[in-house]
Amino acid sequence: MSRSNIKYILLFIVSVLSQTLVFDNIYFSSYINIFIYILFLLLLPIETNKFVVLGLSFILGLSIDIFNSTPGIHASATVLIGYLRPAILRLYAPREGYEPNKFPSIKNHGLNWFIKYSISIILIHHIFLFFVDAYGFSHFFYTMGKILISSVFSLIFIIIGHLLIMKE
Amino acid sequence: MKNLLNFIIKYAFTLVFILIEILCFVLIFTQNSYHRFSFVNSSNRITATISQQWNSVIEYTKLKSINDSLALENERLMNNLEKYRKYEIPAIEKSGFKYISAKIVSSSVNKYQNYITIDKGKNHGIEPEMGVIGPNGIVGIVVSTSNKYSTILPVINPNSKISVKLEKNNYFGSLSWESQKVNQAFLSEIPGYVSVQKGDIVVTSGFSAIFPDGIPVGSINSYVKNKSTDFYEIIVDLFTDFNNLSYVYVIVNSNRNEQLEMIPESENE
Repeated sequence: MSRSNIKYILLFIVSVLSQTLVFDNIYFSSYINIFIYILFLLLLPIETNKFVVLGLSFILGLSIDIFNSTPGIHASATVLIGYLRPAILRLYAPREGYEPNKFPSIKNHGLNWFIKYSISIILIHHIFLFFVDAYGFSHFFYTMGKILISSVFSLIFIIIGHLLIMKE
Repeated sequence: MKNLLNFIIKYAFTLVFILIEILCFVLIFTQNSYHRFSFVNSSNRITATISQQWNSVIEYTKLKSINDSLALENERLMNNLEKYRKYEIPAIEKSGFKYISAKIVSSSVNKYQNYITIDKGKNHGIEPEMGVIGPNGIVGIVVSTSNKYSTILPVINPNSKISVKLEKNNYFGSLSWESQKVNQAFLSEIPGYVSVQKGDIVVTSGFSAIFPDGIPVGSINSYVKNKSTDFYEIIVDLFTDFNNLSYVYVIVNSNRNEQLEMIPESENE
């Protein structure tokens, strides 16, 4: 097993545990739900086989679901972003294409690029997750407010998490 | 056949995605109902153990507030006891309710589907459909148990529905949760001719075999009368503070089976 595989296994465990043990217990307001665990999906190498990304997304979401007693809710949202990630990466690709053997990061692609890339995935994830969790659109404006505010907080903590991991 | 194969190969990624999404939604719709299977839920042994270990680490930071709430609860119970002390009650009728204390292992408050996991389960005599109360009032109902852990459906979950009444005039209503605010719930089915005031106390009705009569639930925050149905729509401030809940009591009703048998008869009356 290569060094980078072990790093990603560690990142997976850290993402799941920090989400379920720390961030799920932080409470400021019912509008703020911080989801940092998708950092794992954001940082997977750009050339990772898309089927592997899809499988990992499902496992990641299901792990969060098992801790939260919400079978399927997180998994359905992470699988969606796993499916759309290749298209989003293509959308934001630099003109000369991505350099080989790189993973999405501030260091490799710049802060602007990373924010654009992360916020797209965070928004898709949060929109899907909150509406599925609410069983539909009956609390539309409340849910939209929750999505927008939570996305901003998730982005901030994902960038902080990303910088902490890069230091290691 | 060849065309079909080509189609599958061309769209394999999308097909796999759709299949996994279908699987997820099957999980959502079969497992999030009131009686859930137990293979993925937080009374699951491994996740509950991890949460419990973590909890024992961070518990120290909460000790002060836990102590304060226990002291307040003691004060309230002692005052209640004092009221009864002067009466000599001849043969106390056995109520059949027993309380088991339990510690919260994990809980959520800011989702729609909120659940609480506690550190007692089947081995301690806890079964689904038992009521759960906190130091200040009602918390929820046990929905699933494993040997050492149980999952509680709290009042602040859209699937929760609890039979309650107004303490001052015994009119019955139904308490549900509309997802807007933690620590606030929605009281319906109180008829429009009843006099209702801000601050009125809401307690459990004792109609179901789950809660004894008169457990505090909350106080009325605001109300409007629905003109078309002539029923009140009431917002209740819950007494239980779900953000700072550490210990709860599970209510065991030893007369429950007898009480359940009585229900069809009383409905016929």
